[in-house]
Amino acid sequence: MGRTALMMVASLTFVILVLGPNMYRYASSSYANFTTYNGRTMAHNIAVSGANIAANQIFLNKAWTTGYSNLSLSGGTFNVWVTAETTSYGVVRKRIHSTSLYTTNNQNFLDTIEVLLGPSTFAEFCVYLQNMGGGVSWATGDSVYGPCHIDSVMNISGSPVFFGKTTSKNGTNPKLPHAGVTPQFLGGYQSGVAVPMPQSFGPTQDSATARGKVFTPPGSPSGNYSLTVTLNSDSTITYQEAKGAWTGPLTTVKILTLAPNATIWVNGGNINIQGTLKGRLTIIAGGTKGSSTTGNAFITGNIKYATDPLLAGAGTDMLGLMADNSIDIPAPPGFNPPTVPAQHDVIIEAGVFTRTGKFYTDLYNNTKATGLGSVRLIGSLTSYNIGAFSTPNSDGSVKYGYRNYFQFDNRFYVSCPPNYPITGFFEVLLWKE
Amino acid sequence: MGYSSIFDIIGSIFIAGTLYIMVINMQNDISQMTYTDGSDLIVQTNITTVTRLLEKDFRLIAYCAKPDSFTQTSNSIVAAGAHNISFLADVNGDGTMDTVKYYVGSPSDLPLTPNPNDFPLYRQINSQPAAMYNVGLTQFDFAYFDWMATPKTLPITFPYSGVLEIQLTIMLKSPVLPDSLGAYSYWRQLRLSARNLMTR
Repeated sequence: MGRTALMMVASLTFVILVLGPNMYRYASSSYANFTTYNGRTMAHNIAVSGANIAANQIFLNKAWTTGYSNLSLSGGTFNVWVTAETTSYGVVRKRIHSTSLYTTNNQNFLDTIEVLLGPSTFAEFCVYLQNMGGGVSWATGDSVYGPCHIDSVMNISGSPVFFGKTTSKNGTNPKLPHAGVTPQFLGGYQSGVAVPMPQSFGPTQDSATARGKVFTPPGSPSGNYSLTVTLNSDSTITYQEAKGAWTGPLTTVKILTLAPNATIWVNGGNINIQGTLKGRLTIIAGGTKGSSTTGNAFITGNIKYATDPLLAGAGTDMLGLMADNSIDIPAPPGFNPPTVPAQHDVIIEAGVFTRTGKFYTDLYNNTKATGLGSVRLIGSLTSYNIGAFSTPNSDGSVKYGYRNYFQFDNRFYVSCPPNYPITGFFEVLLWKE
Repeated sequence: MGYSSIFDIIGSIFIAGTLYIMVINMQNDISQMTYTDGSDLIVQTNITTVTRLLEKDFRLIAYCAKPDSFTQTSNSIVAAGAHNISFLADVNGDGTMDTVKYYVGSPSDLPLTPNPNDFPLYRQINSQPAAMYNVGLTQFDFAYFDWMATPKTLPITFPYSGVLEIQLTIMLKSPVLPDSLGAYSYWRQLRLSARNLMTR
């Protein structure tokens, strides 16, 4: 019996010595698993914080490249440095690199975040409006096929659909959620975003002065000055100046010969424009705010690119049509259908920018303007005010004027017409974590 | 002397038997605890492994190393169901978008595990063979939300789904123990981080 007791004690001791440590090992392994996950998460969060702090610095000071070195945060440290990179079309972007170090349980955890910021242009908006006005709302049946920004209050009724990212400065009217108002923001919505309209086209005009072409009204005769432009599909434009009783010669020239940086500024007059563009061009009608004789552009026919911009791999044809006042699709001279009809179905492929006025047609309430079809803008619209294209029937169909479709040119996400106005802000192009 | 010897023998048999039973029970308890603790550790390790894999991939939704070549970021989710999702992400950083699919199998795909309710998780990149993860999953549920954090009802149409937030709920149980035994681990991410989804 003594031997048996000894054997039992020995076996019990053996069991405890072998299996006991395993139990402690499981407990310590569980703790190690927890600390590893916690360490990785903390390192990641610290790196993200570093990137956010740097992005905020760049928002406050676009020239900021100071970075951070071993800054303490939440028990760890992070480093940030900023590099600049230039795209093939000359745009300077900034890349934020944020690395973190978090130490726990004698283990070091590292993480890296990269954020690429690029300057944004007004061409990146399918529709930009400085003001919607009190009596105008996005309503059921309205669709915006690209990014949209309202730099005031966005008026909404019914269920309009926004396919791209939508932002507004002062929220929505009515404030959402609201019964009966169900907009669909399929690309997301952010309020409190301010993107002010530029006070002038100064930078673009300076570019035209430096390496482009400036049309200045001659001293005589008296009268209103205008430039009539026809875009040609062989990379040329045909233009003719006019002032009062004087009309200049009809001139056809290569765009880049006339304006090496493809930027034309009519300094104190109106523009009449139509045609098919091959190449890149920005043209500005410069003038005084509120004037009907300067700073306006009139679209007298279709404006198209030589290559369809909606095709995959579309070329580089891009037009920026800018006016200090308004851009109008006018009634043709002597409009009197059917003898002198208006154009049916107008196509405009361009980035359209009206700085103090609106993009509209003066046929919108013309009682003879029936059955005209639609105005289809493929590109971008930036406008101070919203313009009218039609007078509706009681059922919402068009009574006078045109239906309007605004479709975004996706190439404007990454490119824009030459010397097109920038918003002055950076946007996040990619976030790598 | 005779009676005392018998009493000694009986008493020693009783004591020895009691000790035997105590030792055997203790051995059983230690073995059981070892087995249970081991499976608990497996569950905890599996949950961190799975969540790390998911977080790594979901953070890349709509990410492209060459952002100029992919601008429709809000359309990066191409399919979404209650237990599956497909999205576009530049997984290898070469500037071309890859299609990443997560979906689950059925419990019958794992006939040899003691838990009758666990099912495998599959991860597929483009048209490569799907990788199977047998981690004791018993719940793998997605929920989708729009810009106002309003739940979206299935089925969701694509493109232009309006899905901007994703919620994922995971429950793991030990793959080596029956469903009624062992610990489980529950993980829910209320808003899976996909910062590139709303850049454009």
